[in-house]
Amino acid sequence: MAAVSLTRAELFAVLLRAARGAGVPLGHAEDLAHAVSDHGDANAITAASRALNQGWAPPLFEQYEGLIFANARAIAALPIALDALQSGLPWVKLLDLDEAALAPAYLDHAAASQAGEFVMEDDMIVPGPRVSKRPKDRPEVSAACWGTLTQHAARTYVPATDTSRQGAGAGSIDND
Amino acid sequence: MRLSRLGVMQPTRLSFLRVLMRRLADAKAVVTRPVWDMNDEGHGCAVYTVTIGARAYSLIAFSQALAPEDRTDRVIATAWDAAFVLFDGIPTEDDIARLKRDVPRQEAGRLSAKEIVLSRANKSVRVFSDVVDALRRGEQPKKDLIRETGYLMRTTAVYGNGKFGLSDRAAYAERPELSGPFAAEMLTVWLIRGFTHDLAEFLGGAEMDREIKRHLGIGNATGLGMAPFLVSHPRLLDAWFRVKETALARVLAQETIFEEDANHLLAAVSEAKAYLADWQVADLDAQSEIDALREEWDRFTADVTVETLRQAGALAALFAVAETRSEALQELAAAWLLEPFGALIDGLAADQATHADPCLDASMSCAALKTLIVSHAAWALDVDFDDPAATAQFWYVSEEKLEPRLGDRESEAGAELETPLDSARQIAALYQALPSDERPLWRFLAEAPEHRAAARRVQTLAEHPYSEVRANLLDKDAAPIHLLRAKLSFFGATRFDPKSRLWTRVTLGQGLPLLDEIGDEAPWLPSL
Repeated sequence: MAAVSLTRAELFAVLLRAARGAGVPLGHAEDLAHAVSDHGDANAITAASRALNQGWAPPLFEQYEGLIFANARAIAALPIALDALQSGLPWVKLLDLDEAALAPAYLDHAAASQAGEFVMEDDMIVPGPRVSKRPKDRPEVSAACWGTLTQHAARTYVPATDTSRQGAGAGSIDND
Repeated sequence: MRLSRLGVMQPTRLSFLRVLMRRLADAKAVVTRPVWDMNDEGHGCAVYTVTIGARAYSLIAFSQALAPEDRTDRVIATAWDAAFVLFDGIPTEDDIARLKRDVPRQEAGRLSAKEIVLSRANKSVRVFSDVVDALRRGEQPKKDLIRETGYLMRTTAVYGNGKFGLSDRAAYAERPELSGPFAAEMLTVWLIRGFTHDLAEFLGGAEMDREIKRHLGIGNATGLGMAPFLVSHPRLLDAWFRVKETALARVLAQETIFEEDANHLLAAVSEAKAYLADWQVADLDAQSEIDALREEWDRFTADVTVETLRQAGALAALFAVAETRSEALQELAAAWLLEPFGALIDGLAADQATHADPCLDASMSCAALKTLIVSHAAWALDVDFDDPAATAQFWYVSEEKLEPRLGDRESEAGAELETPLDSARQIAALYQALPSDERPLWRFLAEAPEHRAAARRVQTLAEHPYSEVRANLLDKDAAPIHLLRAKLSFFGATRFDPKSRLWTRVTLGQGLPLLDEIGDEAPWLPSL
C-alpha cells in the first residue's frame, strides 16, 4: 500500500481517536492531536504512531529545582514538562526520551497557543524564544503508520446494529 | 447556554448566510454559469463561478439518475440525485473529468487541496415534479405547494475543512470572503440553491416567478453528526454567542431610535407573524410549540407602534417584558430587535471566527480551580451521576460510516467505548478529585492525567462564558435536537421541522437574493 497524503484536519481526527483507542487519557490525546496535526512533520507522525504502540503509562519524575523524567515517554511526559515550565520551573530533563521527534511539535504548539516559549537543548527543555511553525503542506504518512493509527482509532468504534442504525436520524427512504 | 434555550433559537442578521450575502454585496461579487451540460432528463454537469474581488470559486454540480428505492438522506446512502463540489478557482476540463469520477462517490472518493467543500442533495420528489410539471404547462407552481415544503432539493451533508482530502480551512481562512465560520459551506449551499432553480426551469422549459424562486431554499436533513461539534469547539462556540449577546446589548443600550428603525421593527413584527403562520410541521408537539409561540408573539407585539418604539428606553423595556415570557418568545424577540441595526452590529460578525484552541494554565492552584468550578460550572455539580437517569444515554462513533450516534446505556452495547461528550460528568469528577490546597495544578494533573481535559474546559469557561453547553448530555431527557437547532440557527436556517429528538429538517437560504440579485436585502424570516 502506498503512502497516504492526509489533510491536517484528517490527521487531527485520526490522532485523537487513535490516542484514545490506545488508552491515552483524553487531555493528553487532545494535546498529541493538536501538536502533531498543527505543527508536526512526517517524522512526528511516525513517532506518534510508534508511541501509541507502546500504550499509556504515567510518567515517573522527580522534582529538584527542575524536573527529571526517567525513561521518559513523550506522550505522557511532554505535556507535564511544559506544564511545569509554564508554572515557573526553570528546566526539565527528559532522560531517554522515547520519541524525541515529537518534542518540536509540542514546543511549537505551546508557543502558538501562548502556553509559553520553550526550547530543547539535548535532553533539557528550558524557557527560550520560539517562533512556532505551522506547516501548510499535506504530510505523507507511510502505509504502516496509517495502519497503526487507524487500528488504534478503530478501537473506539462501536459495531453497527439494526438498533443503532435507528439512532442517527433521517428516514431510510426519503421520497417526500 | 441551557439546552431548552438552545432548542428555541432563531436565525438573526448575524447568521452566517446573511453575513455571507453582505460580504458578497460589499465585494460586488458576480455569478456566471460557464457550463450547463445537461441531457433532456437533467442529468449531466454544470459549473457556476462566483468572482469575489480577485478570486473565483466554482460550484461544480453533477446530476444523475437515482432509483426511488435508493433515495435516502442517511449518511449511509451511497447514491444521490446530485453531487457537488466547491472548487477553488475556475476548473479546467481535466479538473472536471477528475471530479466527475470522485465527487459522485462522495465519502468514498478523494478530493484535493483545490476543492473546498463537498456536498450532495436529493430531490424533494413531489415538489420537484410538481414545479416542473407546472412550468411545462405554462403555469407557475402553486404557492401553497412552495409554502408547504420550501425547497426543491435537500442536501444531506456539506463537508469542508479537510475532510476526504478537501482543503484544510487554514489554507483559505485568511481570505476575507471565506474568513467567517462556515463561509465556504454557506457559499456552496447558496450556489446549490441556484442550481436547483436552474434545473427545474430547464426541465420545465420556462422560468419561475422570482418571488416563488426566492422562496425556494435548500432543504437539509440534519442528524447527530452535527451535535458533537458544539462540545468539541468551545472557543468557537463562545465566539458565536458572545457576538450575538454583544449585539443585543448594543441594541438595548440605545436610549432612543430613529423613526426609520422603528418602522423597520414594526415591519419585522409582521414578517415574524407571517413566518409563524406559514411554519407548519408534522410533529404534533413541535407544531403546538409553534402555535403557542405565534399566539405569544401576537400578545407581545400587540401594543408595539412606531411611537412606543421611539420612547426613551423602549427597546430595553420591551426586552425586559420578553424575559418574563417563554424562552421561545425571548429568542424570537432577541432576533427581532437586531434586525434594523446593521450599522450598529454587523461589524461584530468579524469576531465570529476564532482559530484559538483552549489553553491550560497549569500554574493555577488546585484551590483556585475548585473555586472556578463552583462559580462557573455549578450546573455540572448539580447532577446526581449516581442516578441511572443521569447517564441513561451514551454517545459513540459507529463503525459504519464513522458517524456519531446516541445509545441507550441499559439496552445497547458499546458504552465502554463512549465518546467523551460528557463534559458535565468530567467536571463533576474533577471537582471531587481536586484537593482544596494551593498545590499547583500541574502536580495534580501529573498524578491524575484523566482530569486534564476537564481542567482545561473549566479554565476556558471562566474566561469564555459561552464555551459550554450547560447540560448533562448523558441524561435520559437530553435531546440532541436542541444542539442541532442552535448550530443551524447560527447558519441561518429556518423552518425547523423536527422528525424525532435526533434529527430535523430545515431550510437554508430561503428568501435570500438569487444568484443575479447580489446586493438585494435578505429577509429575516421569509414567507410567501
